[in-house]
Amino acid sequence: MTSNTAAHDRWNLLTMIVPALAISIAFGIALSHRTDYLGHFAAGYGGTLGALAVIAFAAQQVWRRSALFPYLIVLACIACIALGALFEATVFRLARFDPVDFCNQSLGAVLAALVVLIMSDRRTAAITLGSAIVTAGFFLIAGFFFAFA
Amino acid sequence: MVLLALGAFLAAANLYETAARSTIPLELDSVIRSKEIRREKHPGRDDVHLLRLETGRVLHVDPPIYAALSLGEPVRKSAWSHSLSHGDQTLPLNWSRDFRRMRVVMPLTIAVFAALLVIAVLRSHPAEGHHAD
Repeated sequence: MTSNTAAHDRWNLLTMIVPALAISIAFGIALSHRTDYLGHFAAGYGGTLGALAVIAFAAQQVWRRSALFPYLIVLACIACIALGALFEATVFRLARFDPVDFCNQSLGAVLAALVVLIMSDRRTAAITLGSAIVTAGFFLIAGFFFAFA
Repeated sequence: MVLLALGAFLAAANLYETAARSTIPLELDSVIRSKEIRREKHPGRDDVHLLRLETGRVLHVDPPIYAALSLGEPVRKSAWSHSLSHGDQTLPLNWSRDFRRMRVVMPLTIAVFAALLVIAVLRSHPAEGHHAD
């Protein structure tokens, strides 16, 4: 049981890190002249992963074994994308609302939703909330660094 | 599937927006009424180059296009043409570095999304008898 839980925790951690890191590296190499693109992707991923992990953790007892759980995650993801659009149009609006920045941060949000759905499958004992929050924080801070540095 | 479709839409929008800044996909027949450079987070690197046309349309264009065009010039081109007539001159148009690199990163991103979706589906439907809840 304990080794199963540890294996699930390792799987969850890899699921949270590997795909996001792979896409971030692709942004970083191919679009090295525009680190803000990478920054928006990473910040969108980190912010949404943190929010969805908290929502999934809070709802898991009621929703996780229900067919409705994925819909909750998709709706929460769309809400995060809308919140990101609001931020981009207000507090982070410098020259103008940039559709490319918005698309990049929203792609990060979609990735976070896919990751949370994988972590919340029926065989997983529990969402590893702690590691999700730490991973989310890492990507959020990295996102701000690359967006503004 | 909703998430994959949403991701594909965002990736396509990203590609179109970066492509549109070259003006290549656009049809234009107007006169430049004003030009403006707005500073972003990294002045000199991610400045926003705006052209306002007589029609009221505002174009966010790549820096070489902004530099080549002058106030009051008529601009004309057909959609997907790689040349832009301005005044009595013709400006050859090229895809920007942003667009060329996005053509690599966006399909890769969608491929990762598709792989994750497959994993999510496989894990949510474990083999009969092996993972009874």
